Amino acid sequence: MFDTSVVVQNAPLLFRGLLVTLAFTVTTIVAGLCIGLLVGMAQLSRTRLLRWPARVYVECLRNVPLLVTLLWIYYALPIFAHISVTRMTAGFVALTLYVSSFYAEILRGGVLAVDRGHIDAATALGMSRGHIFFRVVLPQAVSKMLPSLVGQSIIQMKNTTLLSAITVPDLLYQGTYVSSFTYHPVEIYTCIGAIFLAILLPMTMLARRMEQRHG
Amino acid sequence: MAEPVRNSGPDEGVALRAEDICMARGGHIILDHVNLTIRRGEVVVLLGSSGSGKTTLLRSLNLLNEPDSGRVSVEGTTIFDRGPDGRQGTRCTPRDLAQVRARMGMVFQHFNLFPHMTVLANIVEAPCRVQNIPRPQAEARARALLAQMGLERFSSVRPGRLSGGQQQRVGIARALAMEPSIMLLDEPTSALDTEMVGEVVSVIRTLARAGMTMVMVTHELGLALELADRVVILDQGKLIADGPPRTVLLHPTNARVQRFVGRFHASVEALRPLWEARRHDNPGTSPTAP
Ligand SMILES: Nc1ncnc2c1ncn2[C@@H]1O[C@H](COP(=O)(O)OP(=O)(O)OP(=O)(O)O)[C@@H](O)[C@H]1O
Ligand SMILES: [Mg+2]
Repeated sequence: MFDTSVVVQNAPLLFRGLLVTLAFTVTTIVAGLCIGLLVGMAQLSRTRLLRWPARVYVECLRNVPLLVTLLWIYYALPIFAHISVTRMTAGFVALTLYVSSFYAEILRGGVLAVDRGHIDAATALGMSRGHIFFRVVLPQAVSKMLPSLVGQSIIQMKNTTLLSAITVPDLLYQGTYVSSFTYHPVEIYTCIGAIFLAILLPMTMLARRMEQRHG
Repeated sequence: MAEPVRNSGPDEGVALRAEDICMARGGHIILDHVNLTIRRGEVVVLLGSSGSGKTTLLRSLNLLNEPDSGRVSVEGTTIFDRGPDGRQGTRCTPRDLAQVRARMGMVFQHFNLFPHMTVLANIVEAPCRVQNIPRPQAEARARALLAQMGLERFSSVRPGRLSGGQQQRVGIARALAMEPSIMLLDEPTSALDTEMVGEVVSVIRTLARAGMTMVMVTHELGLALELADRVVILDQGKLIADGPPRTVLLHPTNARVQRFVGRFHASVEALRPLWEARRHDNPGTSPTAP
């Protein structure tokens, strides 16, 4: 019944899909972290002109399903903004924006959790606001945020499967394709699930260990 | 430390001047027209019951909290100037303010050491990055300060591993590393277990004897009587007494002061011999770090 040879025969295709999935995961996490840092800082800014747009950005992305954002960027952007986007670009942009809004929130929470007293001490020593943020607040915030950052990145890898909706050839897309001509969807999807499990389970355990360590 | 700057005029010899400081939050008056002048080399102890505004006043002196109105100047530089109508007087750039703050060391009740840095890194962070002192030089000075406090072996340890008394001494060393001309201390010993109070008090005593200008909030009346050149008492945000400790604490005239001191009557009487025995070792020396 359970025919593993189907998986073995189509391994190259599935492997290509896995590479696409990993590439999207890594690049959107890196880009998302950069944007998330900026947006998170803007959210913490004293100027309303920075705080407000950052708030709107975060809430719009957090409260719309990723699949909707993805399809919207793919179909609506060319119509309204007259920018034609490839499915790869649309996928990258949607996943990046989406994860950046969560990273921004995690950063904001981590920064707000830093003891005010340390900021007072740094201020009293004559440090500038930027210096205090990068040398005193951020390093402490990062260690508080690390478990949530890892957790969100795990979700991000799983979210890349939505890319197949706009026919980006990721792991799930290749799997669907392979099942369509082999008629062995159970084997294929079991294999895909196992791949995700093998990659993400250690990450989840790492996040849990970090959480325990940081209380 | 450099020779005290001699500027002529009424501010000669004045380290810090706070005038007409007012602050209210949520309809509650925290500081009510407070005036305070600290002369160079003077040790001023700030007393008052809990919630009387001592911390708020101390933090107003380096603008960790901004009063609603009043004027604060440090060694001739005005860092805050706002009229009762909210009109801004002399302005001070963030850069100038940071420079003034760098010359004022602050010691906190809960130490507030940076937990992610080693003891040594805590001490050299500001000298290296605010005053641009070369790292080797800053580290040498930090090690010397740690040695004076008997903490040299802890230089590469995270502060979380130290006892409260040790942490507070690191806090004092961190402030002194900036070679400040004024020290502000907010209940430096009140978060400590009793057996650790002594080690911190002795560091503060050494500093005071060396002529450091200090403003210290404390509940240790003994320390006030022993070290203070002047005692200032706050009550509900009002300054109700300002004078030599003998006059203010041993012979209070004002009824409110009498009431405040009365609660400590037993301890004041017990400390009387201490005060009588007190003498100044080096009156009038210029402020120097030990
Ligand atoms: N930012 C603020 N907002 C509202 N109320 C404040 C604020 N800061 C201080 N207060 C209030 O002002 C009063 C004085 O506070 P402060 O901390 O200066 O007192 P304190 O004399 O240092 O007391 P303690 O001996 O307990 O340290 C208190 O009633 C406090 O609740
Ligand atoms: Mg206080």
